[in-house]
Amino acid sequence: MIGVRLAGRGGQGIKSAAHVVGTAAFLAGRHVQDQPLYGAERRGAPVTAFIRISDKPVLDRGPVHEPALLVIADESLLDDRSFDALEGTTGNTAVFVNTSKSAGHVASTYGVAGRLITADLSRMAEEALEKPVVSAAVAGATGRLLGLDWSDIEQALVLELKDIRVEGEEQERNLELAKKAYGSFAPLEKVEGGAQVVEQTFIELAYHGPEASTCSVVSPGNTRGRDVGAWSRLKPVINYDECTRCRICFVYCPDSAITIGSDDFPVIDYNACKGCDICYTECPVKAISLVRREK
Amino acid sequence: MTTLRDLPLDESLASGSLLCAGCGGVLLTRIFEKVLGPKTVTVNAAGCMSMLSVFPFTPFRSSWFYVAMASAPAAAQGIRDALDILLKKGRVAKEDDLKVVVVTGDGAAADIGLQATSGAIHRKLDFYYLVYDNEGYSNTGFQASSSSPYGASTKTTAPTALLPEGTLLDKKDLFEIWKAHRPPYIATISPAYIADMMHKIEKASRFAGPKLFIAHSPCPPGWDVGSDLVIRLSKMAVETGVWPLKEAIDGQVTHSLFMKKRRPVEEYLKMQGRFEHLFSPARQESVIQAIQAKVDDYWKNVTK
Repeated sequence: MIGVRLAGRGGQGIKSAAHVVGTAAFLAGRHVQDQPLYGAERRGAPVTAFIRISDKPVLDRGPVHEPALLVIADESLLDDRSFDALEGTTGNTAVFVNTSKSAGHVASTYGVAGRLITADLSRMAEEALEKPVVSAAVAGATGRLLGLDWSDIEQALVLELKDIRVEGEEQERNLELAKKAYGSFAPLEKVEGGAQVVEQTFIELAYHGPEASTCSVVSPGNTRGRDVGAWSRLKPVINYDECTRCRICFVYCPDSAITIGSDDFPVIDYNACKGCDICYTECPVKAISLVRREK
Repeated sequence: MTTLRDLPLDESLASGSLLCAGCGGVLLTRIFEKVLGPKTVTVNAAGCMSMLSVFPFTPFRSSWFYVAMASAPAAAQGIRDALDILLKKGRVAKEDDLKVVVVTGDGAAADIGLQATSGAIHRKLDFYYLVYDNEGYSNTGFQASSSSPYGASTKTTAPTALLPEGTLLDKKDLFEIWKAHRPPYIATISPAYIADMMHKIEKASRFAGPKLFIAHSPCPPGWDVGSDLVIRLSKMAVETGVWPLKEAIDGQVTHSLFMKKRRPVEEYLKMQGRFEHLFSPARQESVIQAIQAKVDDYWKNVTK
């Protein structure tokens, strides 16, 4: 597998470049992932994108921490310590830096280990598009370094540009820029690595019907068995000599603790009575008194 | 079914739930489920009433669906649609059809789930919606909601030396927000007027589409009122005009109870610890008068 990391700044087209390269590899019949990573920031903030290309299904997920190829589309990122553009690079990592300076200068200034390739893609882009959008150039350069065919890059770039409604002359100029960048490099030799996950382990789960994952209460209304009678020190007691069977206490009992018996008199279930005493307050004939509960 | 003696004796909501003693919301839910009967499916957004069913226990005799705070009316749509499809395919017999009942607090109704309700009413979803309006986030310790009334003390709007009023904002008028959607039936109800509530639920059941209820729902710990006094308090809310009992049928509002003379709101406020700061240590006359003025202003335009 080849793991590629691209770093640039918002507005340069890093996300698009990664998508073009990923699509080109996909069109060539490879297994591919590509995804960008950025925060809520806007233009100018660091943007990272990842591509994974393999002849087998890609099992890795998330950022490419140890890239086989690192593409730095904005040299100033190498100065940004909080960004850590060179994270995970070793002597085997191929590092491409978009710069107007020489490879030797970049290597000594920023301490870049590994195989360093440089080119001034920004100037190339300025000349072709009259703006600093390097997506097409980065896509062309990255595709070439990875050894992808131009026809696949071209097709992927057209798809990407169509998606953002860049057509006609503008599309042509982007294609020319990509082709020029593509032609400026030779494919890297032995670009390989970046995979962390090498083995696929699946736990076989047997099918269960939805009832297996649904909380099913076999006995509806089963809170009835719960004793909430200890919630209160006092309990209401009905004086049946005074009770007029008006049902006011039954109606207002929030907890369904009062039932109406066959003789039409209310009966209090003291396991269900929390002692809110609404029945005591509301009884129109004061037939209910409050009595201390025994322990 | 318009007198208390018509209230079914069978309990749809069993005893033994873990809610507070004297909870207005439990009483309202119990009556609601009783009147609608056992063939219901209750959709419950996060809130106090979601403490009713804590697996493996449930006080419900019928199905209960628990869903995130913002989503109860959307979940109700899914259940209604599924039932309709099963009915059409003949996999559910017509007599086994279920009424879809959404039960949420005011936090889900007026704040977090307002957009889902708006969508459901707009789509003319055939469902019942009971809001137990306890005027705050009671389940988490009584923080202010947009349904908390001006002058009330809540966990997040406690009176201070600089802001002695407590809650500064007015209670959101959910009734009017709903009414603007023109559902067939909306009503306000009160646990102190159970016969009125029973009558309204029965009346609502004649309409297809959204049937919406906002209930005055005293919260003994949040409102700082004795659990035995919640019915008295709800009655006082109606008699002072703080809680108008009304219904809107296809947008036409009628008041169920029109009082020639209303009690002063002070009598309602004084019953509750959440308004205690308006009376002690010093009486905040301007705040009390402002609350009275808001109530008077409401009733000024009421003719029926």
